[in-house]
Amino acid sequence: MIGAAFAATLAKAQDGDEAAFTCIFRDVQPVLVRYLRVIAPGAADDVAGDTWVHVVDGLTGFRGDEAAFRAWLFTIARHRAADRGRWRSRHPTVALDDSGAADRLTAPDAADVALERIGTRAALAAVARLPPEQAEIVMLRVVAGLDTRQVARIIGKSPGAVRVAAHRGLRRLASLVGDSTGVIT
Amino acid sequence: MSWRSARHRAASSPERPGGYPRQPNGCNGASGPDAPPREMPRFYRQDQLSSALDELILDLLLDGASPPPEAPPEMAAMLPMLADLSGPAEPGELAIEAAVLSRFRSRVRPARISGTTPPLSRRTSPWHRLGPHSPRVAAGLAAAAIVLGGTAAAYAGALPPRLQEFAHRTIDAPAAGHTSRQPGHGPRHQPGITQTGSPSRRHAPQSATPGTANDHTRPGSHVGTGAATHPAEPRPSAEPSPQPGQARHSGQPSHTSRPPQASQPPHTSRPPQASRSPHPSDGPRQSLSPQASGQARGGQPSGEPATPAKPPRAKPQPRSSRPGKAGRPASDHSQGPGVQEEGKFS
Repeated sequence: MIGAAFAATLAKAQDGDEAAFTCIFRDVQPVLVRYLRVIAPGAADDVAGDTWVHVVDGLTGFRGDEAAFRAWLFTIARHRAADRGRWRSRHPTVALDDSGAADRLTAPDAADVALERIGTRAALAAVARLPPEQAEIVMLRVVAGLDTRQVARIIGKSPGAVRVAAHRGLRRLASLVGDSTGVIT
Repeated sequence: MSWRSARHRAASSPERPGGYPRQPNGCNGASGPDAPPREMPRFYRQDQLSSALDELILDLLLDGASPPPEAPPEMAAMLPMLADLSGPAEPGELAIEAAVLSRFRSRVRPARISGTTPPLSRRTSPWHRLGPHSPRVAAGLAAAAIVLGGTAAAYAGALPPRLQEFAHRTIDAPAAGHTSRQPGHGPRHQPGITQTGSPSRRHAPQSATPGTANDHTRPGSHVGTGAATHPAEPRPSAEPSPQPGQARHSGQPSHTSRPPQASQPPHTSRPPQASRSPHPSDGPRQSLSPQASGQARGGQPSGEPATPAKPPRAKPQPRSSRPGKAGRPASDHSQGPGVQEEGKFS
């Protein structure tokens, strides 16, 4: 999160300052890609590109703080992911990355496994094992940094339902962390 | 809510269950045998306490705060994992940065990129919205307004005489002084005006042949040349002798818009009396009625009056008889064959 400097950075980006926009992009893009890897596996980069296209087009008209900006961006990303999901349902394909062939061809190294335990990929893999709704809520709450009301507004549920789903997801994650075989796939 | 306050509230809950007010007599039991369930005392069990604690811990984890030391170890182990989820960017996660920045550069105006943001007052001006070509656009709009206004004024007959005549020649606007129009006929159909004997200037440029415009104002020139180059041809004697006013007026339209080939038929239809005319093309014009001549102006040959002139039109004419081709000035008709030529040839 950029923090207190976000308002000035956003104003510069809206005025055309490329450096300011780059700062915002580098702050949001990693968490956006991780969120999309959970809700749109296999098309995260494409959906992220579509999301940024819409963000750039509507950047000058945006008004709000950093939390509102993130809520707006992740709302766009969610819609684009839904569009991509509908498109994929009409054009089914099987990617080699999703087939698990790469995992079967190479034996996991002990050091890599140890690193992955604490790495982002392991965490994403653990979150991806959650039910889709819980995984999305956990990602929006933890990764995107949105509060319960904003998440509820994005996914169209009540704040109470979002809170319950987030708790359930974290409990399941805790059980997955305790079970090492559940984390490392 | 902090961890310690939540813990204190959870620990003190059995003494004051559910937040209900304590009974006046010190008893916190049911108020009666038919008391609703909400009035029954609530005593937290141990599992409920742990559940409340877990929820508080989970809320702290979701907010990114560190759990309390009393938190279960599996929940405490989630903190680094959740921190990894929102960790720094990995190499492949910024792969689309160049494309996004390119999109950003293309979508944002260059003036704003360079920092030279125009003042807001310029945006409010409608002329500045036209862009850098606003002077050209403004000049074009002004020219269009002048042209349209001048055209409207020309058709309304509100221009000065010279301009009105020019408009009459160019865009077929009413001639100068032609303010009334005859209904059902051509737009400019007033034979009386041309009968005054004053040569109308609209005949001057009606010459189909360039180079003879100077002769339009010289009555004598066309007299001699016309008689020399166009000898008398056999004319149908049945043609009625035209009235001076009619002949003068009827001769005008054929000059104005008739193509060079169209001037041949009048040669054949000229009556014997019309041989006085220096130009053979005066004959058929004289045969046209005023109505026909009025409608024939502007290159629109009228149907009814032109009927008697049609049979001779089939007669082939030599190419040399075309006005201007044989050196004979086509402008000899500009003076009107009716009045001036009548005096000369009769």
